[in-house]
Amino acid sequence: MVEGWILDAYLDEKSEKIAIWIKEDGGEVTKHLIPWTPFLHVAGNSDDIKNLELKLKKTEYQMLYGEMIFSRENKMTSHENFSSTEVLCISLSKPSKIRQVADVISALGEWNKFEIFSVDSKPSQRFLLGNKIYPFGRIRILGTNITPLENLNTDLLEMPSLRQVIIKINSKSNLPCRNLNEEISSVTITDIGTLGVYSNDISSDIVLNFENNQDNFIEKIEEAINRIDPDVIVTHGGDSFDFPALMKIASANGQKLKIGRNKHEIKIRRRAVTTRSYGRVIRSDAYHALEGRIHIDMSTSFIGKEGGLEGICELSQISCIPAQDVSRLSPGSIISAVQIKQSIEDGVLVPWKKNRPEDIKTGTQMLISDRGGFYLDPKPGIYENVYELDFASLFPSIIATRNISPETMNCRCCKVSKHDNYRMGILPISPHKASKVIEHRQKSNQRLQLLVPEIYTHTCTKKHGFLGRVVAPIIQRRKFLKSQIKFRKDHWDKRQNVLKWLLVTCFGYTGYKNARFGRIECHEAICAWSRKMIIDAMNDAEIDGWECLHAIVDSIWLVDTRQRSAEELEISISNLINRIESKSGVQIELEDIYDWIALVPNKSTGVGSLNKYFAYGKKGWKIRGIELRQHSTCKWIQEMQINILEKLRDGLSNNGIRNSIDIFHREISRLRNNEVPLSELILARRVRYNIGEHRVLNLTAAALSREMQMGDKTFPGRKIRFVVVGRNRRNPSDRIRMESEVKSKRPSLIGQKPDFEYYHALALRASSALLSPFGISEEDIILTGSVQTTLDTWLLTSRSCE
Amino acid sequence: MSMGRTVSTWRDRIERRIEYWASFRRVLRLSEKNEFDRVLRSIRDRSSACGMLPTSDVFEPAVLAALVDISLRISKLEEAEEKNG
Repeated sequence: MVEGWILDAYLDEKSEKIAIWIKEDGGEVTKHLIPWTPFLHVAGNSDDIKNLELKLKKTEYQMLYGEMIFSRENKMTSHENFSSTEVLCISLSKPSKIRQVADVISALGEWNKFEIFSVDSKPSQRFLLGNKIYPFGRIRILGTNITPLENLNTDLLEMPSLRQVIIKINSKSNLPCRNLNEEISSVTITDIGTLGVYSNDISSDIVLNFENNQDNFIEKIEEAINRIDPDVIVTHGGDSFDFPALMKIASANGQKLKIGRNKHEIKIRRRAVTTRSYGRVIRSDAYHALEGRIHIDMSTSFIGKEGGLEGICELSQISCIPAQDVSRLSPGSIISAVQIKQSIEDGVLVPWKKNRPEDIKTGTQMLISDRGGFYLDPKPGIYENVYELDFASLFPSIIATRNISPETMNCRCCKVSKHDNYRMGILPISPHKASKVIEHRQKSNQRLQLLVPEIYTHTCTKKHGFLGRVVAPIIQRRKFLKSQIKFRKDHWDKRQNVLKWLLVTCFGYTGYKNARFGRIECHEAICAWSRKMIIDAMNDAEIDGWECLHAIVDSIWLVDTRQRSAEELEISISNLINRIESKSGVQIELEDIYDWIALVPNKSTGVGSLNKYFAYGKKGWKIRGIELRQHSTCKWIQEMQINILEKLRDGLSNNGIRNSIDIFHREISRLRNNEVPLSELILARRVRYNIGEHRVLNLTAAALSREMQMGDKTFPGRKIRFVVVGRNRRNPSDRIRMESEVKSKRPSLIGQKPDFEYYHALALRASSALLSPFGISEEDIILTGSVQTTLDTWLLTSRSCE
Repeated sequence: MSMGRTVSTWRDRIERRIEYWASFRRVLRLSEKNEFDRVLRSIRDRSSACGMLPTSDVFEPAVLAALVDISLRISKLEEAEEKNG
């Protein structure tokens, strides 16, 4: 008998069993192979199902896919009705074949006869859910029997005590973007202690030099890892560089890299793929999984970047997917996994492929319903003492309180027209309270309505929606985690931050054509409610003597119009918050009170740009949409913008603008005199095409071709970094120099200077972005002499003009 | 077209119409051109309100936006006149 908590679980393809790694109470980590037979469900016409069963029983199929056992079960196949249907249940002796069997069934049914269920949730997730256990949860294993020792539904999930090390391979060139052709100089192993335990008792870095240890480099690394015996190995690029580089060295010596537990080598759990997401090309590197330890590649893990290991553990527990796998998933895939989990718990089969077309709409209905969140055009300029109010988790809260879910849309029981005058049936956000309310409503005969504004579709008031039941516990948990935050980026903050991303994608997935639990009408209803709520909030604010400067989907920026005192404003804003909250049923947060905010005008039309502003408030800077925030911007421009903002910070009482313009001119003269090092002028561009596929010969194409001449390649989806040295030169690959050339000071740099015109234009645009709200144009910046106003006088004159 | 949308946004649609108006603008006299640009700006400044009207033709919201701007400017003049007696 073994008791301990689950470190990792996955399908062991060799034995076709589930491998569970347990950290035993004594501290030892052991592997247990548990037999597992997953089920697959097929629904269809009973004759077709009979034929299918006969065919699959034939020896050729059993040979290919292992023994299959058939039975009939009554199951719910959709959330829409409570009645169950008879389905064919196939249990598979080879779990790894589930996908192939599903493909065969689909083909045997000519791709239209059968609906197939329970196919593609992850084996480890299905296994854990089936046994009512979860990652990092305590269990007891007796033979092949598993008993959970903890219940997941507790409020306070403790962080597991995971010992962590960071492994970093250093190359001779020491560049930030490394590639496998480079020579390795050393490896650094850093012990960062145990998660959640803040102790000083941490050994210093272990640095192993490659040249001094060439013969037994790999053994030395393995020895160092085994000595520390970490549970988690953190890398920054382990999937793309560190592990492949070590494996290359190992295989050159005829060895294998064994840094898993019990001398297990690294396994590739998924090959590298290039995908597209939101118009961007993204490359996912091969998944280098460890056995008995968790490998987290922080450079590619979105959740890791947003919430660290704490965030990964949080989502691992919520979704029931082991940490190593979950760290490589997008928030969208995770929310999808949480939905699958909810569906399994509801006893409703999970469809393999979505099979719901969009409802038929007329052109006018399409115009009315296909709209997103509300934006109020900002009035460009500078404003003092601005209050920002945010709806907390607006879209998920709409899903929960307006009971929006594919199966609750346009139900028959709550049909309502815009002329009916029934009471609104908004649900409370708390999932527990909401289910009580629903229970009460099912017993009573009271007629309620949830009519979607503008589009006049409706949602059910009597059946608790599936999406709401998924999202409300996450909203609630996030609220709880937020209430525990002691300081910025503490583990509570990191955990709540990853939940934010789940909530954001939950809304997006209602509109995604392949989302299993998506329905575009839900998406439209959520947007329509959000528009109504924010417009109502704006109108309420105006009645209370506030002007709405700008509004974006779930936030409004307000400024006083009645010259009230600070105390009066405080009372007014808190009354306003209460009123909006009670009307909408959604919590409002006072995001910040800004000393001033600058709303940036659009460069070509002069009207306000959406989502382009910078403000200085009680919580410091809030900057959106300007170069400083963009990853492509070079260091020189970023620093210039930071310096300008520094001058503008107290700008309302000093010579901020004048000083800012001075900064621009100082930097330009540094550029002209070649005092700005090339290393500060490196731009980053995301590669979208392979070399030769570009329709326009832009700088990125030039960089790719230069890189090819140097024997390197940046894959689509990755970023390429370079300096512009002569934008108009005849030979494209001579127009730029690569970051690697700059950093290693190659001879190809001799005599090269930055392209003055190019960087001058960048600098002008960047300074004008910050100064345009003050009414300063690009010409004003260039002809410094003509600008004599200080901010004070500018504010005075601009106000008297109004 | 915007990501994930079937219907173009108001802002995209009005910009296309403004492009179509370019040949009209080209023949206006300079002083009129400036007035025309002012009208365009008054429409762009009210994109949020225009976008709330689900019309297939952008003209109606655009005219309403321009009218609001003109009315606002008349009111300001009236106020100024009243002050000056």
